[in-house]
This record gives sequence, structure tokens and C-alpha cells, in this order.
Amino acid sequence: MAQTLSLDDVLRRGDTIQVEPIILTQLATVVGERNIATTVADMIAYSHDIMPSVFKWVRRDDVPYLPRLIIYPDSTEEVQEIVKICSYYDIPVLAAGGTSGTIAGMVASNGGIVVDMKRMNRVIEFNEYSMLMTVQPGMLGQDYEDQCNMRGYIGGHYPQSIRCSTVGGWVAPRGVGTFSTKYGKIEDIVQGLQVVLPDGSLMETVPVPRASCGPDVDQMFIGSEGTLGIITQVTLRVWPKPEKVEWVGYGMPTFEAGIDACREILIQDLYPAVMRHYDALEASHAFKDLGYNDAVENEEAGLYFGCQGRSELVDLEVKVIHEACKAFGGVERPGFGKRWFSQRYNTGYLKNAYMLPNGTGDAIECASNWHNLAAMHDEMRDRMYAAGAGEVFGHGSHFYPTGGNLYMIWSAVADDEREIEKLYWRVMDAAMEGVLAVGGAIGHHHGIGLNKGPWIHRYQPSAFKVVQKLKDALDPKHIMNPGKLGL
Amino acid sequence: MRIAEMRAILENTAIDHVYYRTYDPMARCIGREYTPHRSAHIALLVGAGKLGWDASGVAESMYWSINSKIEQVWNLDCSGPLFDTDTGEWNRPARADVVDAGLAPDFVKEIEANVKAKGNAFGVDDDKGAVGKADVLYVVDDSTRAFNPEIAEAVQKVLKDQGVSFAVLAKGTDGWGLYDLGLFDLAEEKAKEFAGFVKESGAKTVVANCPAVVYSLREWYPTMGLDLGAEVLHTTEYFAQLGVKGSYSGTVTFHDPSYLCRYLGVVDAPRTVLGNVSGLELVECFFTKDKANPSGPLLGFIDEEYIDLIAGRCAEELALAASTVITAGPASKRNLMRVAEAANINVMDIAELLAG
Repeated sequence: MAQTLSLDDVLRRGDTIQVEPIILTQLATVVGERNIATTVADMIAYSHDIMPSVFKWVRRDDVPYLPRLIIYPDSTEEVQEIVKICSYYDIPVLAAGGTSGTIAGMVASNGGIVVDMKRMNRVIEFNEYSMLMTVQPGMLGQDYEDQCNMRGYIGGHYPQSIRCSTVGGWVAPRGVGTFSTKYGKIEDIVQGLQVVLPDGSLMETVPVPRASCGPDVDQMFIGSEGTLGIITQVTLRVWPKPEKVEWVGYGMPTFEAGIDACREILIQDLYPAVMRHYDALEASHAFKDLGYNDAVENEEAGLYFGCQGRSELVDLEVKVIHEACKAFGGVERPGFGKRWFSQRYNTGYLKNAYMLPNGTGDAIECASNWHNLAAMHDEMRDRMYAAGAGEVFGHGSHFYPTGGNLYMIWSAVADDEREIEKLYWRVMDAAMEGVLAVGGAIGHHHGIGLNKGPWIHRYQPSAFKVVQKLKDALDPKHIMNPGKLGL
Repeated sequence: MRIAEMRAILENTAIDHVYYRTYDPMARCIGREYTPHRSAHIALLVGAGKLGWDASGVAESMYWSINSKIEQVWNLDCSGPLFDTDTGEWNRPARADVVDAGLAPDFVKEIEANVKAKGNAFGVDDDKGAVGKADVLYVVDDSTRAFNPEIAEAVQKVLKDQGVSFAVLAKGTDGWGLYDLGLFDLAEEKAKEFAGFVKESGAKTVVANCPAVVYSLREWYPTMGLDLGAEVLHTTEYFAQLGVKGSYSGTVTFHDPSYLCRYLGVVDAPRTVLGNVSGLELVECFFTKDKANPSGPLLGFIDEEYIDLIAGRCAEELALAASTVITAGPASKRNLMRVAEAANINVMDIAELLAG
């Protein structure tokens, strides 16, 4: 049960049931036979997320990781019983939401069964006075936002994957939304969790704004990527619908000048919902579309803001943004932000590199403090080019009073098909080395999964030992999503 | 094998970077990863010779989609032309391959048997007489005949009240639903037969209350060289042209059938008709027009429980707007009626509303 199973293995064996009959019967007793899927088609459907290498597997008809079966629980109690059975028989358990992760966080790299949480998609409670929404984790992201909107509120969490990810899938990798500077990251939005632990017992936190009652247990599970348990309920903050929305955009003389402007705004305690800052190469794509040829010629970096909320606050944010950008040499570039907003869920460009015959690429997110952000950009870019990347550009899209993230997007074409994966990992390694060289974080919101596993032990190694000990204590049999998060 | 020639579209669908699951009925309502991009991946493996249709679940996986075009609308909304693909473009040929391999799911075999035995998808006894002659022909589709004859009665009452002289075609099947299920040969045979019935009437205007029939006659028949020599209209379009008026006291919401709002792009006509009903207040559902969530399949589906889950979710959302739901397609009424009691809604066709 804990061995990697490929499509070739399954076809060679000629059978479809990859689980011992007695275990299958026990699982069926929990959820009913019709809520267990064991066909080859089902296994293929759950064989991958959207880690970039997956596209190459698909294109060469390779299916390297198949789960043994897929099970569809409808309640926390059913999840508990499933986990108890898996714990008894040492069966790896992989919780799946929208399967939209980019870091191979849910692939069955050690065999096991997939617990698809999407049947658990209901609103449990909406407390309007406290502005808290409690939902099951399998609710799809846009569905969650729609449920908030139907009640006159917004969820405030808008990852690019909102229409394919689930609420549980936001929490598991410690994700962020594009409006995060105002509304916070998922760890700021979540106020309570219910988690089925690896022995099948239930862990629940009290959804209060804050408590001085020991370490924050919610935060131990936010970002645990299914390695410490399965999230079965989430309580999240919601916000009133904004009264006013404004978009403003600027061309900046350098990437560093844009970073300075962002910092200036945040240290004045203003938090525009959207702050996105692009290097000159990435900004040039948008500037060309918008007809700002002078900005392209001048190699301007691009910076835009989305301000929303109470009208007077929006007006103040726009005023301060304008002052800060002007102070650092910015030129107004109207339409820049709105252009992004109209295409905010479009990830088609990421596919372009993979549609080329020997093309590859990725979007790597990482984080650092203000004083290192520009250096991290340059360090990563230079190392990635040296490792064989054809084009590298980047932007920051989530900021804090002390720093921000970087999203380094790269593409390359290998000499031949056999070299594609080698090239991918060479560039990936260069990027990670660049981050570590300046003391940054190797992941900002995608998580670690299998994809960044090789580097996680080098990022704050002494702290990682604590995570390892937590894993060993909670999951001594290592059945929960084994191999992910470097565990 | 048809799909062996379709690698490009299958690959493009299979590696769709962020397939938009939120409004996909299988992900949203059933809670399974039975999305078009997953079934395209499976079809890709079959087309490449890596997998056989006879491997477990593979043939059935081509029937995971109800082909409502809802995913196309949202993919287009999110990603623009890069993912502007109708799932039916590749999964109908894939289904035809499955049928050729003798591996069609049971519900498809049942529909095929009904058509061969009785001439229609649901096995009802058809009118055996000749089609009457008139400038206007009203087509009563097989779903209306089998499940909701009250819609046909209402349509005819409205037409009579308007003084329209019309003939009725209440036999055979237009074939599109069969084509959608991969029964290509049978679909074409029945389409030709149906076109003959229409021509027999000499009608200049063909009116159908089933949007899929309108799509079939208006869009699909010409691709097979079947020229009906008539304008084909949905009842809502015809009623809007006629300026049909009615009266009703209360609040209603409108469910846009998939074939009407997405396949035909008709969203204004039903609202024009509802606007001509005195005393009626229309409250739009959260999901409306081309973004209306599908109520279920056109003819049938791989699992009856799935239909209830899809219809149930749709009904829940409609109920938030009003407890009386007006729709304009027999499949929508048939599907929503399955869950109407649980969702505490009343469902009626727009023709029934007008007929009083």
C-alpha cells in the first residue's frame, strides 16, 4: 500500500482493485460502496496536481503516480473512521481538495489512498455579528466567495486558483490571496480549525480572535500540507462589501524604486488591498498592451494598486500612493491595474512554455525583507540564467510592513526531450540557491510538497527539526501525506 | 478511432493549467474530480494506445460531463481564448468510439433501444399519423411527450389564444441528444427522418419548447446538409415576437436552460416574455443568463443520484431568489421537478405561466 504505483504497474497486473479486500470492506462500511472509487479511470483522475512537470508527463503519456483508491467522505466522523482504518493498516492518506496545487502536494508518491474532500462542501454557520463563516473544507473557493456575497459580505481571499481550489486547500499550504495586503493571508483570515489527527482523533480550536493560552495551535496546522492531519472544518473572517474601489498604476524608473515606494506606503500604516510590482521585463508585456511604448523604451518597472473599502480611506490611500510613487520617480500609467484585474485568474501564460516541443518553466514564489528584496530578485535571476533559463522575470505581489514576496517566472527550451526535466531541476536549484544566499524563504504561498522538498531542510534547519518532531509525535507511522513538506 | 486524430485538443484540455472546477457540476455538486480535463487526459491515453476503452471505468469516464458548456463559459471568462473549448468537441467523438467498441454505459444502451423500438429516446408511444400542413409547426420533443405533456398543452393553448394556425409534430426524435451520447449513426438516421417530418408540414416557421431541439434544427442540421427551409424558433423567441401577454400575481425567478442560454445565446427573449406578464415580479437568481448553473442532463446520465445532486444544487440557488421557478426547457423542468419538494420550489414552464 505504501509503494509508488504507476499506470504501467496497474495495467501489467491487469486488475483494478489495488487494496486488500478486507480493507476495502471496512472503508465501504464507513462511507458506503458508492463513495469509494477503484477504477483505473478514477486513479488517473487523481494522479496529479498541476506541478509544471505534470504537463510533461501528460504530453508523453506517462502516469507515474496512481493512488490505490479514492474515497469520498461526507462528514468529519467519516474522515475519522477512514483515518483510523488507514492508521491501523499503515496506509498512506492523501487529502485532496481542488487538486490545483503546483508543488506535487497531493500526488501518491508513496501509494496510499486519496480522501477527496469535495463532498464536504457545506456552510456550517454564518455568524453575521461576529462576521465569521464556518464551512467544510471541500467547498470550492469561488463557491465560498459566492456564499459570502449572497449574504452581503466578501471573503477577502482571492488566490489566482480561486475557481479551482478549495477552502481546505487554501489552508493546507498556507496560501495567500491577491488582495492579501488589506485582508491578510490565510493564516490571518482563519480563526478556527477542526482537524482529524493521524490516529483518527479530533482536534478543534475555539474560534476566538486571539488567546493567550499557549502556542497558537491553528498555526501549527496551517501550512502542514496534510502531513499532520486532515482539515475538516474552517472558520474564517469575512468583510463587508467595499464601498469604493480605485485602481492606480505607475511606471517606476527601477525595480528598487518601486520597492521603496511600496515600503513608504506600508510604513505609513496604509494597506491597499492589491499591491503588485513588476520588474521591467515583466512590466513591458502589459505596457505594450496598453500602448505605453515610452515606458517600454525606458525599461520602466511597473507598480499598481487596488484600493478598496470605506470611501475616505480609499481616497487617503490613493493620495499617499501617489505621493510615494512620485517621490521615487514614478510616472502615472492609468489602466495598468485594471488590466490585471480583468485577467486576474488567467494562468494561460504558464502553459505556453510547456506547449513548446522541449519547453519548460515555472513560477517560483519566495519571500524576504525590504533590505534584501531587490538583491534576491537579482540573485535569483542571474543564477537562473546561468543555469539555462531562457527568460526570467519577476514581480512582488504580497507586501508587509517589513518586506514582501517575489514571484520569479521563468521559461526555457531544452536541447532535446531527455534534457527537459534535468533543465527544470537545474534552474529550480539555481533559484533556490539564490533565495538561500540572501536569507530568504524558499516558499511564500504555494507550499513545499514534493517540489521544494530538496531544499526545505536547508531553510531554517533548526526550526525544521521542531516540525519534524511534531510530525513524529503526531504521526509516528508517517501515514499522512508521506514525503511532502520534506517529511 | 476518432480520438486518435484529436491529440491537440485533448492535450490542450488535459493540461489546462487551472481547470475551473467551481461551476463544473461534477466537482461542485457531486464532489468528484470527474472534470473534463481529467477525462481528456484519459482519452489522450486511449488515443495514444496506452490504455484501452475496456480498462475499468475508462469508457464511462467519457460520460462524466453533461456537456452544458458551463465550463466553457467560465474558462473563457477566466482565461480568454486559450481555453475556449467546448468539451463536446472531443468527448462526443470519444463517446462514439466507446459506442463503436460496444462499451456504451447502460443508460446509453437503454436510450438507443428505446429509439430503435419506439422512435424516441424515452420509449413513449408516438403519434403514428401524418404530420399536418401549416405555416407554423410546433415540435413536441420526446422529453416533453414522455415527462411533461402539460408543457405541450400550454404551448398549444397560447398559440391558439394568439390566433396562430399551426400543425403539431409529436413523433420521432431530432437526433441531437443521441449524437451527444455518441450514437452518431443512429443520430444521423433519426435527424434525416425528423427533417422529413418537418418538411412534410410545409412550415415556414418551426417552433419548439425544447431549446436543444432548436439548437439541433437551427445549428446542427445545416452541418449535415439538412435544409428545413424554415425559420426555427424557441417558444420564448416566438412568444416575444407575437407579443404574448399574460398575468400572474407574485414573485418568480427564471432558470436559463443550458441549451437556451449557452448553446443558442438566447437570454433576452424569456425576459421579454416575462416582462409582458402583468403582476409578475422577476427576481434574478445569483447565477443567471449564460452563467446559470445547469439543472442536469439532456437525456440521461451515468448515475441517477448524480442528477438529483446537480438539480438539487441548482434548485437551492434558485430558491434563494424565489420559490416559484419559471424555466423554458423540458429537460430543465424534468430535472428540477425531481428535487422541487426538497428545495421547496414550484417549477413551471414559461408556456404554462402564459397559459394561466
